[in-house]
Amino acid sequence: MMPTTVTASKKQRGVAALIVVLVLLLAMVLAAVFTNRNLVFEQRTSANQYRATQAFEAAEAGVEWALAQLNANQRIGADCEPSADAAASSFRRRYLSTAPTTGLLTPTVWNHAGAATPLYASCVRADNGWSCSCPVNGLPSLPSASSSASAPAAAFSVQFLPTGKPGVVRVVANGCTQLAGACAPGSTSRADASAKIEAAFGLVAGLRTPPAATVTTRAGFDAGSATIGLHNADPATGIAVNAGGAVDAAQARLTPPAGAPKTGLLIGHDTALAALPAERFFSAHFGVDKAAWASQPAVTRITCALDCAAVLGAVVAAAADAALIHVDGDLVLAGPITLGSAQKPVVIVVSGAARFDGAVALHGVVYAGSLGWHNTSGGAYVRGALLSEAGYQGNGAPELFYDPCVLAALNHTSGSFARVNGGWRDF
Amino acid sequence: MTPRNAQRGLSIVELMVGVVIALFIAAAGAALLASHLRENRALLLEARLMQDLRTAADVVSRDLRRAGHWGAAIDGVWADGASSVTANPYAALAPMAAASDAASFRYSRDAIENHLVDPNEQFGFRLRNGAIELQLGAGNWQALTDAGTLTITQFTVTPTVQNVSLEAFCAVPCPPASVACAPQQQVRSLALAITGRLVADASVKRSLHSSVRLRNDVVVGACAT
Repeated sequence: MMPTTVTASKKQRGVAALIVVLVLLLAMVLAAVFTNRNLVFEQRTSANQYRATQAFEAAEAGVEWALAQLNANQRIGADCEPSADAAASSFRRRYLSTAPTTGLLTPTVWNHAGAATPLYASCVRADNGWSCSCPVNGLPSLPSASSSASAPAAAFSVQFLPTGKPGVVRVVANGCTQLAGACAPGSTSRADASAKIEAAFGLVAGLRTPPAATVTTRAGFDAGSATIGLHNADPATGIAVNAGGAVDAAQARLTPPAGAPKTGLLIGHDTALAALPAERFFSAHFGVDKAAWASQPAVTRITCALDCAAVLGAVVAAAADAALIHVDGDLVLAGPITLGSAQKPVVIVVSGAARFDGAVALHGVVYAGSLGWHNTSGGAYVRGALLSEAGYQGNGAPELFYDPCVLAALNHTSGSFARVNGGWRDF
Repeated sequence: MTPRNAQRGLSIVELMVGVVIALFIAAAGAALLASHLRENRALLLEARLMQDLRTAADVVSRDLRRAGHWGAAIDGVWADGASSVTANPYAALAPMAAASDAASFRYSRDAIENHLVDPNEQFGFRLRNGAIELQLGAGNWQALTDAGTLTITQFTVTPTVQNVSLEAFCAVPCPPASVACAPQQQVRSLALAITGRLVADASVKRSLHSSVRLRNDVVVGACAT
């Protein structure tokens, strides 16, 4: 028995020390873990900061995106990308409707569970860039973010609100860290962080003050013996030619407003007009100088050396709404060509001389350094107005109609949106 | 007898050796723990300093960013038939030229815009007695940072104003050497620098820099008539 007892007691030697050390070690580990909470706290605060910044920047991106989309005069599909479908509408027309007489902008609404809700547009950032949804009706449909709900995928949704002032609209952009919450209208999920920004956009009209005459020029109007048709049946204006110099249109066929005499149609030697410098003649109608007008986002700048018909026709066809075109240099346009329509008029500003040949049919406004129309044999007409710095001279006999509806459409719907100072807020 | 023999206690030598080893280990462990706790406390204080500075910078830049918001901003838009537009009553901002240790600005908080700068629409930040103070109301200042924990040694607001000429939009060209014409759109940004140190340990110092682009631009001047 004795050897066994001795062995057992020898085995248990030092056990007390071992236990004491183990207990102390455990206590130290616990204390270390406990005190490292602040590291976790640091990480949490910086993650919060990161998410808040991401949501805020997404909302800012939403405002910028909406502004860029409004100013892009192109047809878009349901994914907000340019579409070749001729029936597709532009972003501006899809989200805002304009009252034809006042220019009041009304956001498009749709019936959301019985309540009229302004239409949403929204975007989400995936690995390969942003993907967007611009529905014609209903909620935006974007690829579900359920698989990557925890992964940061910034998203925003945009809505427009009316202001009651013509040409001004409010935009509300919600930015989130995921496609959830306010950024995914109709979803019940919550985003980790979200931000809301409101801003106001105002329309800088492409034609700020429509001219009061069919043809307005600072110098003379010389149609020679051509049987040019000069018409202005609009009782509010009632002037066909307003020239700073002499008006020579002996064979002109004149149409005054109903009941008005033909004598008031042609006004020559307008000294106020003749005294107006060329730059001010432009800004009197367009509200800005030529350089600023040409550099606004809604304007397409083209240069064409010989015949501009193909280039001009392509630009007008590509535009979803009224096209604003600036031609650097001279414009030579040979018919037959049709530019614009009553619903989709065009504004063509030519920095040099504009010369029309033959059957050019145009809805809209042409502004040129000097203007001429030659060799017509029917089918040549303008519905809108013509503006010329250095007079009109030509042997052509186009039909020139003053069209207040076309001019009002250009005044109220064409142009570029810009931010309104003081309209930004994030609360 | 046998079980009692088996439970025989430790000899004095064994006990002493065990206690000595345990004491050595305990002493080393305690020293380690103490240093760890000390380091940890310093870390906590630094984190707190950083966090306080960051929070202050966040509040300051968020609030500054709103400067100039006007509930009726659409009144500042030209409309056909209107002779003139209303100027933004909340446009005032200081500093506009030199760096300063105080900033004052305004933005609208009206539910229905009254075009008046009410007391609760006047805001400001300043450095006083080692703390950043936030203006709430006409003359009420409230500390934004805790002077008991950290001392703000530097709070600088440096403005950058870029003027964009709006002469292109004037119907009448400006006369030469005119100051008020052409109207300018002021794009304002403020660079913010905050430096703070711990009250408990003056050697712990942290600086934060941030840049704020004021979202609401202001138009000054007018076209010639």
